Amino acid sequence: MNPSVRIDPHVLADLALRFEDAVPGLDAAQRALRDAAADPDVAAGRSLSPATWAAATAAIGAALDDVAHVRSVVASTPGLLRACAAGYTSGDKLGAELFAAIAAGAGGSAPLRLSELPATPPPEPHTGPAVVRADNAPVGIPPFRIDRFGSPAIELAARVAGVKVPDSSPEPSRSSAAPRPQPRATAVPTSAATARTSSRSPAAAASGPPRAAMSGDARRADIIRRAKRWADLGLGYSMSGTFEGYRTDCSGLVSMAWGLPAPGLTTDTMDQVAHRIGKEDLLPGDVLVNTAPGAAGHTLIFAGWTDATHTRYFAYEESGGKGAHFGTVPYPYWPGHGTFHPYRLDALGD
Amino acid sequence: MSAGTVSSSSAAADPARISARAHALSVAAARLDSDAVALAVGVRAAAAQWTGPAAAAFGAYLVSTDMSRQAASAALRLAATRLEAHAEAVAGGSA
Repeated sequence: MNPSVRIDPHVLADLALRFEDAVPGLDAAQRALRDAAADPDVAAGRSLSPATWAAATAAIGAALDDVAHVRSVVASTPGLLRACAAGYTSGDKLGAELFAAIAAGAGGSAPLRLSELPATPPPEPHTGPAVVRADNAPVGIPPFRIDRFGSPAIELAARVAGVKVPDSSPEPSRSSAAPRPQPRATAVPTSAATARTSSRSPAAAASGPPRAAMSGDARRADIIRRAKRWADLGLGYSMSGTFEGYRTDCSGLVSMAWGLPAPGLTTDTMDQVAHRIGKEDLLPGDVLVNTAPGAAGHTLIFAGWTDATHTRYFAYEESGGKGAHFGTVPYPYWPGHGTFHPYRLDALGD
Repeated sequence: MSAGTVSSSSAAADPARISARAHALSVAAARLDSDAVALAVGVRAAAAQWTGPAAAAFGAYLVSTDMSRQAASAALRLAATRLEAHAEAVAGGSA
């Protein structure tokens, strides 16, 4: 283990909150599955179609297993993150041990059992900013089998997430090679505070943190978080209606997510604050725009490629048919809707 | 698996209701995907502030949780597809 490795506990606490936010979605999935399994109408068709009934129940059973597994992983991850944060905060030793174990588990086939790792951080007081609560000590974290998925699958997910997976080659990792380790006194507390605010108070999150103080990546995360909120709310489409001051149309969604003044720019004025970029430069938080004025124009928020072919992408979008929603879109957009080009908010850099 | 314990009670099943259950599963899968994108962006933002190989390893751990989510999402969609087929079979009265 490289003793010089530094991972700010604020960042880990930030991630812990993000994982906690994902748990309700998993709970909803479990409820939907259990409702389907218990529905008398689902069961009543058994005598009519035993083959499809068997296939349906088998699929539901497999889905229940998978959702239960991922819920267990996601729900236990905040404890792990806070354990690492506690370790770093109190002298790095425990955090270093945890990371070493994770590295071994991710690169090999042996199961990683967190229960075999130290469960309590060292008691020494720390002098850094406190973000780790004592009641979040990782007591009772269930074993996590990181070997369940093979290396290719992890690498695929890493490409989606933009995270470099360690391998046997000496190539430097993306995160270590990135020329931007942030000064701890500025960027990290801002990121952590943003996550805490957005996790606990959606309205406060929408009003916006001090964006000028954010790093580019933190700002992109904030853009996606804001767009996701509208999609979660399922706000209907209107070129004249507003929500929290912003028009509830396509450019209103982008303006809100980008933190522009309400009610927002339009598709033909968006280039006042954004510039054209290349397809391969697209990152989450950038947009695709058809700059035609009025109803002829359209824009949506790029949220990542669906796979390495870069032919489809995830997007947040306000559209007349679906309102604010999340989905996948063929690049650059569905046929028959004009010409779309990728744009980036000027404040996000080149 | 709780689904396997459900007993058959009647042949008068409502295909629309079965279809609605399938839709609920699709919605749940879409929500998992949506949450995952927000999480992946957050992970990427956090990873940019880390240094060293252990940080990359931890990134691998985090994305492996996303692989778990993808498996769950795919399973939900498969279950929804199966239920839709079930609804169609019920509607058609096929055996």
